[in-house]
Amino acid sequence: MLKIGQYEIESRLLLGTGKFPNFSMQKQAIARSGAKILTFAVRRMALFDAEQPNLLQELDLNNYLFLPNTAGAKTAEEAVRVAKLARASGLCHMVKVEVIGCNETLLPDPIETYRACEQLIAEGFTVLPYTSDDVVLARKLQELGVHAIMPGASPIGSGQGIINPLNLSFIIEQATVPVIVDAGIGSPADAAYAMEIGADGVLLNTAVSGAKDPVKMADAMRLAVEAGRLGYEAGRIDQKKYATASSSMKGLPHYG
Amino acid sequence: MKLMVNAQQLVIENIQTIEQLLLHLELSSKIMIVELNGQIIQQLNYNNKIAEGDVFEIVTFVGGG
Repeated sequence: MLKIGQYEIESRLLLGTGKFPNFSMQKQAIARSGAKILTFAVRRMALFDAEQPNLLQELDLNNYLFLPNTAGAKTAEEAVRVAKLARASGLCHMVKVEVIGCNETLLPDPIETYRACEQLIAEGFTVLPYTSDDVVLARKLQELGVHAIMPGASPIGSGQGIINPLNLSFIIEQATVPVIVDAGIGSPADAAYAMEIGADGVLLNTAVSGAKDPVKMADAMRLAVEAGRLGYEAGRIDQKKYATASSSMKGLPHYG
Repeated sequence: MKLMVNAQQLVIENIQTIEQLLLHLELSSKIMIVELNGQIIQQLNYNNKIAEGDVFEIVTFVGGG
């Protein structure tokens, strides 16, 4: 069971809801993924547009925990404002703190992220910061009292997978809260790898929504996260330089 | 009455309350959050009167990672 703050979640796969080709595919992918936590962004409504699509209306709200992100915020204050708007909906008390510092890399601003977490913890939110894989920053955020750490595998939407497994392993070793790898996952192998090295969960979006068959990929990711977690719990063999035969050399029959 | 809603200048007649404004904007049945002049307005206060020059931000949840 994945435990984040006071919440217990069956699925270790968290799913982003952005950039799906259409609503039908999005709904099916969400269902197939088995994800129980869905992320959303907060944006202005279109005016005089009664037919504007609204994903939330399509979902059974009792089945999911909503994790609004603060994407778009450039400062801690903007992130706090967005978080409060989201919470005012009555639908969520968790927040993914996403304060981006660079438009090309979409890497998070560590200082504004830290400051936003400080304020949001004081306001009683369940706080999940999206960070780079900076080991010291992760430790400081934990000391602050965040409820999970969400280090990026690689830049958002880049599909590069985990490019710095060493840092990720340091973050996992020192973790006092769940570590959820968030951003840059591309393939099911990436998601499984994150879980195998000890991450508590994986958050991905583009890997599913941008796949040729998003619904099938959602299925694959669900299985990958399960397989990776089982593999981690099962305890893999060590890697060795030389071979070790699978069968004993005793009792060999005489050959010719 | 002139209002700003989501950075759009609107001119409206015969609308007194937030509730009526939301109806006018075709928004009333949706999941949304209303901020008026920088303050979040709880649903139970949608009967509050609106005033000339009020600045609204009306937001909802959209797809995002």
